[in-house]
Amino acid sequence: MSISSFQAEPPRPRIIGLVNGRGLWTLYEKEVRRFLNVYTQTLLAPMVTTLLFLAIFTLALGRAVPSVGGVSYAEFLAPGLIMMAMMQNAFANTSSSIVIAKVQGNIVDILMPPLSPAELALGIAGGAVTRGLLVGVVVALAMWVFVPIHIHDPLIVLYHGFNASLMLGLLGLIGGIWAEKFDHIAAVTNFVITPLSFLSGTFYSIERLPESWHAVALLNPFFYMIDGFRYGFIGTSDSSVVLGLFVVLGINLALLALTLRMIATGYRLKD
Amino acid sequence: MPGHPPRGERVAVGPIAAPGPPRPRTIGWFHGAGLWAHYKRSMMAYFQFAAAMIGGPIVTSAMLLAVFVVTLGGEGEWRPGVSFAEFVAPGIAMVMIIHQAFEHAAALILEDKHEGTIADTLMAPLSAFEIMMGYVLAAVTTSLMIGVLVLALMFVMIGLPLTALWAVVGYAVIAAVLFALIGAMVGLWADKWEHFSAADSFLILPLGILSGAFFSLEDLPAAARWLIEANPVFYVIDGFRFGFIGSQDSALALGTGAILVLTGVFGILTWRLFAVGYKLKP
Repeated sequence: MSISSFQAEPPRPRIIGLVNGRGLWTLYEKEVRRFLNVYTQTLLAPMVTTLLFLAIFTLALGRAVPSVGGVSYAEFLAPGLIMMAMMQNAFANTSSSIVIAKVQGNIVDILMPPLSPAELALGIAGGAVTRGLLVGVVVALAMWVFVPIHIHDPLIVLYHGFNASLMLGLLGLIGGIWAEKFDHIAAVTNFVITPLSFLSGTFYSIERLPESWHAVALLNPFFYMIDGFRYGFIGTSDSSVVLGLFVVLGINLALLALTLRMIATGYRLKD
Repeated sequence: MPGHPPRGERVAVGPIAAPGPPRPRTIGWFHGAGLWAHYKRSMMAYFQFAAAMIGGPIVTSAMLLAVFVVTLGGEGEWRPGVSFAEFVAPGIAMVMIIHQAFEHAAALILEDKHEGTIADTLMAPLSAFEIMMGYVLAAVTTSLMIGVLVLALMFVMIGLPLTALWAVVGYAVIAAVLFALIGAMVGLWADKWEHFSAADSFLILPLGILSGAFFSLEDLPAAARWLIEANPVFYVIDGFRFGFIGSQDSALALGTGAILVLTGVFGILTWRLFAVGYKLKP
């Protein structure tokens, strides 16, 4: 083969079809490698923290609260703690990624490439879902050593695990886009995410709440994910399981629409 | 400082003030002004992020206490006359104090190393002891501040009793100093933020949580008690809690003695690390 045959064709731009598959995958891979690179912080630390929470709550409360909904307090608590770890990590993944990129200025590296708003949102949220699910598996395996974990309905577990990671990933994305400095995102974590996850019925059945607070607890979207996820393990729930499936799906669609709109208009990204 | 006009006063120029060559300022055995400047700077570095750093411990404490109160429905009693909420509240406050002391000292030193601003501190005419004290005192100040805020919240939420103020203040100060020293050592040792997070997740958090802050020794099987009894945080929490509810799990005098010795040893160790320039001066 002669050299001239190589010169025959000038370089052509890559044709991108409906979906920029390679671009989406690259962005997703970057998001996943970002947290896998520091796995002690992103996988092992949540595992240790969750085990410690399990220890203090079963030791402190196990004596006074022998059983909830027909299972031991530890079995009742474990799914909620797994879910809390998944949610916190999914949120941390997207929010830190966006805020750091904005503060350091390398956000242009993801805004410049030929990626549509939907591809950006899916690539970044996909990283959060992956981290959420991985944390869930790691934490569940570690807990399984100490607490008998039975799975009543694996599909429900997977559905809520996936949707919770996606929801918190999208919330982190929205929070990260809104935040202009680390203080802002820390405020969202401290004043929105932490209270919503603690008051989600992870630690108690909402029947323990006074009547007036009962209704308030039902307004917390995290409640449906924890309750549904726990149903997938122990087979009993505080509220309707079917309602929970729809609530979670509805919230995720709304958050996805908001995220796409924010990216498309370039709100606090391109100004 | 003889020869220096007070700030703001006009200095006479001309034949009246025929100045000699500038003389070096004499610093005595203790450089108070330098330590004060270093301390003030360490405080200001913290207050830059105060909004984010103060909110976290306060909200988390409120949530933890609320969860305990709701789960137990007010029926849990630790000992006759002491509700479980009253038992657990001082423990939560103490965990926040030690965590803040550690975090402030470690993060500040690591940040200074990263940004290279540590050189400003090392170049200044400050002894190793004064450099250490600036960091440690700033961390102690902010952790006690967090302690006061968290306790104020606890008083509002559950009407925590107060029996012995000396124990509350004394144990809070010892714990803050001990963990500020540990934070300073971790800050010196750490090369990157990952190291700091690892120390936080795998050392400080387990020490804080497996300390009897949230459960009494009596709740543990006898075989596991040594785990708590070997944890220095257990003794500071126990003494701190005694200041509120007036009863304790352990022999306070022995535990307190051990903690004071440990703090002294860590103090000397940290001072030596600064003096030899461990990971500071290549």
